Amino acid sequence: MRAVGIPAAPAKGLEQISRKTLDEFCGALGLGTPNGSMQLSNQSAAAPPTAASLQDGATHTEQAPCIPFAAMTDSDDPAPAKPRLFLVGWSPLGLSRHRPGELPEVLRTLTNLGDSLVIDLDDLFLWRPSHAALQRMGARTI
Amino acid sequence: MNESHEGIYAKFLEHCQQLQSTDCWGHFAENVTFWKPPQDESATLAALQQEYDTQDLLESGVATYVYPAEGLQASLPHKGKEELIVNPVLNGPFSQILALRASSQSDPCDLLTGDDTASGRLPLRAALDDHVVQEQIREVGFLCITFSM
Repeated sequence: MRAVGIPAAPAKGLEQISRKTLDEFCGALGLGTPNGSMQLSNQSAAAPPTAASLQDGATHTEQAPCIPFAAMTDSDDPAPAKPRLFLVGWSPLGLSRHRPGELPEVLRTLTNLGDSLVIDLDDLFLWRPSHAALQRMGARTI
Repeated sequence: MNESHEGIYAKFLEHCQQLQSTDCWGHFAENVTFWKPPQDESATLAALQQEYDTQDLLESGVATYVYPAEGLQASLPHKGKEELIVNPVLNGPFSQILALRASSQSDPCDLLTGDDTASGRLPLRAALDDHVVQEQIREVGFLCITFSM
């Protein structure tokens, strides 16, 4: 995916992600914080952040502050769009709609964390191309 | 970011060979370099130990200890019985290693495989430190979470 210009990262370990790590990831990506801001939660895993604490301007105390991508653009737009997350629910290597075995557990984990407001599920999507789309991709990769 | 770790990752890659992709996306892969694990693990470790302390190699995640008899990874307090090996994350038979870099000219800030990162950080988080991933996210506005490399 990287080769064709699609930013991608492995899901490995995501099914056991801690709240702290997810919070750090979301901060680095610019999710779960106001658009274009550099605010990060300062809450530990033992003290889950609330929606209010995510927006009160607190800075992270244990890790170096991460600049959300939304805040790193050169645009003059004060509120650039937040990046979205796409779970790849098919097999790019096999060019098949085979659903990855780890997908249900990762979805369950993210849904549970979404329920506790660590991540906004409006930013999360599942990518499942149609058979026709896969055939088109296959024709272009041969 | 630990600069000595970056040097260790760069030195480690000197002992790896570039991987030629054979899958259906192979001809798109000319801009992406994957590496195969080192062929000679002992020579790789010896070369690394000439330049870096064992402690640094352990902390970078490039090397780890095992108990030869039990095959269990050991922690440092058990020195004496253990054997230093290349981290299995970087040395699997099917491992494809991708160097994550803060810029195109910099040494790797981490090494990513389908199993994990050398540093032990969550792969999803570590990937955000890579300049290519950063640039692609800025360009397309999304990040794909994949289940294979």
